[in-house]
Amino acid sequence: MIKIEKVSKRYQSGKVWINALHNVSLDIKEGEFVVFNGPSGSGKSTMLNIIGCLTRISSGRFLLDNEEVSHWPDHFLSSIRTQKIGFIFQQFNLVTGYSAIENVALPLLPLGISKNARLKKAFSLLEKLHIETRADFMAQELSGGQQQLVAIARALINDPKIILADEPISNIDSRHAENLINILTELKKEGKTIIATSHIQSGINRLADRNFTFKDGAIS
Amino acid sequence: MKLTKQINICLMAADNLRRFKGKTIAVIVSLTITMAVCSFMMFTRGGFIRDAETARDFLPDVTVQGIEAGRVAQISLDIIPKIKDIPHVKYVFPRVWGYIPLKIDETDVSYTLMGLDIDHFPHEIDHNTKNEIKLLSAIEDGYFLVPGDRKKAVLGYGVAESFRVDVGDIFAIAQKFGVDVGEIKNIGDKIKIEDLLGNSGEFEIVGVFSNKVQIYTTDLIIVSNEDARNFFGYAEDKASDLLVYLDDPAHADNAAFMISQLFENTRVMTSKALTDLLKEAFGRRGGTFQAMWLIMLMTLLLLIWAQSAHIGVDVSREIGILKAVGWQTGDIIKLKMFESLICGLFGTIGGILLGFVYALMGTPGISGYCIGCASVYPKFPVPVSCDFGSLFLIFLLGVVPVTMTSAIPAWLTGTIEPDEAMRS
Ligand SMILES: Nc1ncnc2c1ncn2[C@@H]1O[C@H](COP(=O)(O)OP(=O)(O)OP(=O)(O)O)[C@@H](O)[C@H]1O
Ligand SMILES: [Mg+2]
Repeated sequence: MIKIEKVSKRYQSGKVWINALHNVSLDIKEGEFVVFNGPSGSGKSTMLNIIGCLTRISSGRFLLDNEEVSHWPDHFLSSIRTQKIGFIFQQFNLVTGYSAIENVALPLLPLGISKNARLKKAFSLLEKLHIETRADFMAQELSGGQQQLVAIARALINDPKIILADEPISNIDSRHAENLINILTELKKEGKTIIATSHIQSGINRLADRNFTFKDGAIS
Repeated sequence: MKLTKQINICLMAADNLRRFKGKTIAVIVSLTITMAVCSFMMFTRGGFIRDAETARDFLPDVTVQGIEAGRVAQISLDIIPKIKDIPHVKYVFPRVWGYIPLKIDETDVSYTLMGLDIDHFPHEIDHNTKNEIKLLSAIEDGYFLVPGDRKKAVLGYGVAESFRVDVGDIFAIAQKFGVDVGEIKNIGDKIKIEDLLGNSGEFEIVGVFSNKVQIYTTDLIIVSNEDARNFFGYAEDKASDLLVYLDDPAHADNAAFMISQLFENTRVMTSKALTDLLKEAFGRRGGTFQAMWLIMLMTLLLLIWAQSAHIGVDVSREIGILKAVGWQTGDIIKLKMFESLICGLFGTIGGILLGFVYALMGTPGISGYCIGCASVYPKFPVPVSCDFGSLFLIFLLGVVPVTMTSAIPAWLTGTIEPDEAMRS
């Protein structure tokens, strides 16, 4: 379902060009659990961002469900993100000033769903993740682990086929990490395609069907 | 589906404003103040210019004053026939007028008592001459003096008010609500004027000028030349100045030049020169106006800058997040525009209303600084004019830049890749 062919990604910072990815190819099938390993700066997040349609490739081909989306216009990519992808960011990226439940419901708003329906759906997800007691807490009032659970709930709200998790166990303690692994196991059972990154070998590697190790923007 | 989406976005915008109250209030308050001052200036500035122009419509093409020892003095009526011989001169009317200092309700005021040659003026002037028509249509209540009227007066609005002449039932209404307004006078009643210099006279009120032509007529009492002569103690063959009407105003400069050449001890002014003088006097705050405009513009720019700077920091992250979770760029721009539009509408409408109310209330605290307003009865307000054009301009000035300034950064952030937006 995900096909990466000789993809390169270059970033420009000032006058310098950085090759974040260079000629990377990989294939991920539906329902697979894949983990990207590798040291810091090796390009794991960049690859995840490409798959999540958060950034475009510089060269090569990127196919999602057999469609080459790399050159699609911006608003199509927004639709893909809504329909197919749930992204759990490394820094969780909740909107401050909004409560947990409002953050979870955020992706539903432009779909024209009424507020009540949005909050109801968001609440059921928070319940599923056992964090419903924090529903009305402001994003900035939550602990790191709680923020991650809210971020997971937000990623799941549109029931996407693909879950992308950037460094999901780096910013939380071991107790939360265990809980997270249980959640990912559950999602895997539900048939979701899951891709996670981790700069260290960890508990999620045991769950993985396959591991890719990145080094200097390439898979070794 | 489509409509609920727009409603959702609009509601979220309103919600955002409530959530970030501090910022919202700051934006609305500063916009309100800016717009209030802007609109106030617009309302009043228009009023000054309009008044100056109305005044010109009352004025003759050329005014001739007498000069004695270099100072303005009485002018002799002997020269009237000679002026009438000058080409294009159609009518010459003498006028007797002066300032009358009075004390009303313990307040010093200064009015103008003006005698006109009412047996001939203005009804003798051609009906297609604008001057006559304007002067007569400026009467709010009663009628303008007619030939033969003696011991009768037409009052300016300010004069009428201070003598409690009931125009438009203001005093009657005030009395009804138990306000003590003293003795109310009506058209047809007599008023006794005794100025602080010892001049006095008694006149029957026959009409009151509309307050729509404030600056020129508000402090005016118009009587016959004979009554004015009696009041001021002028000799039979003297007047304060002569009003010269031409068959074609285009010749005003020529005629004025010839008069000044023919008669040594005269000062001759064309209506245009007088209007310019008036405009300059009343618009002396014109300079002040410009300075205030500049300040307003800077405030607005500051506001715009603050708005976009705000976008720069955490709003761009918020936009990046919204995009990452599937929002379309267009929806994000809409959200940001709704937010500013609400602020803009509140601030601008509030500001315009505030400015208008302030102008209508008689501009407390500012009237005194207006030349021409201060010398008249203290209640006399700065003239207010409100035309749709300037109102619309002000409205656009308030709403559009503020809305735009939020849309442009939102658009910029919205069009870059979400991962970049979230990084900043
Ligand atoms: N938006 C960007 N602009 C400029 N350079 C970027 C950008 N995103 C990534 N890079 C660069 O690309 C390279 C790969 O970054 P990436 O975030 O993919 O690494 P990573 O493997 O996820 O590292 P970490 O384990 O620290 O998260 C790094 O050198 C990084 O500096
Ligand atoms: Mg990373």
